[in-house]
Amino acid sequence: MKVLALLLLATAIWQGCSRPAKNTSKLTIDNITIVAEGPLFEGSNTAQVELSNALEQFLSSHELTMEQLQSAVLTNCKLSISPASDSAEVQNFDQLQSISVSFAADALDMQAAGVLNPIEDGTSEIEINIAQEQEKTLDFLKQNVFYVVADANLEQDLNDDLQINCTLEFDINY
Amino acid sequence: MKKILKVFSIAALAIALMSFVSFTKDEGGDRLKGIWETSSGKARVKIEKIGTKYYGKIVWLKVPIDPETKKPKVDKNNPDESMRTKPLRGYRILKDFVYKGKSTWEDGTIYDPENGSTYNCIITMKGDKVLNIRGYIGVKALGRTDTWKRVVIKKK
Repeated sequence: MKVLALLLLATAIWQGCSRPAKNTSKLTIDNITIVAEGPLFEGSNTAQVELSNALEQFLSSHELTMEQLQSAVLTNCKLSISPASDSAEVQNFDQLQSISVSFAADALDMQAAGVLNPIEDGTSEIEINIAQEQEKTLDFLKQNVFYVVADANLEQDLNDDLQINCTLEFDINY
Repeated sequence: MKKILKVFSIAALAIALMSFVSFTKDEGGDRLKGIWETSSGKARVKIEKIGTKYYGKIVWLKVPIDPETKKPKVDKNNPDESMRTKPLRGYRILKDFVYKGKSTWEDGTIYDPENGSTYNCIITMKGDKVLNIRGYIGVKALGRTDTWKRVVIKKK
């Protein structure tokens, strides 16, 4: 009985000392256009876009400070083709064999965000498979500037630019 | 008045000199950009700049098809299982290199797709057409150097 009481007391103290339960909120960054300037060649081509102050609006709307954030996880990455015109060479993903997305920043090591290989023909919108290892996702979001980099494998040469619309969804824990 | 003018012109000269030094340093770093062939001739790697750092990805493979699957090679040894469908053609094997001057790029890593391992790496350029790529774990002395040659693509 005495042991049980001690155990209960220890559990109560441990519970009391542990950090409060985490809150999680969604952060969606949309209207991102990742661009690879043509002419582009058969094989892998790099498209990139610079994102700045990604957390600014999230912090103000949730009345949080940067220090209160504990972690972040990329949960979804949706991509669609954004044709420059009706006559543009690329209207959907038919000319792309695969696509990989990464995050890069001057102060951080590059991190894989996800990949889709192969891309099915006739697709106009895709969701890539998200990387399991995401140790520094929050660090990227905290940067003043970071880059979303898409490596697109093309089936043939293109003269036009490749423009990809991107929506990123994160779970932010605080 | 003369003294003030003298100080001002010395300061202006110093600023101009500093700008020139930083300009030439950046220009030197960009010499790394281009397409390079490994010593084995099995792969060609395109090095490009993202932000202020340099990254290199495989753009050509001598044997692009996996003899087991009969499909284009993928990164089947990636420690992150979710990334094992990533194609090797287009894979970034050189990451996060910073130009340090004297034809040397440091702070980066090189990935070996044959075993899924990532090594610290230093790149040094000899002349304008040869790179020494030294991969190591921990101590630079305990590493291996591979020599890459610049691929010159003739314009039609």
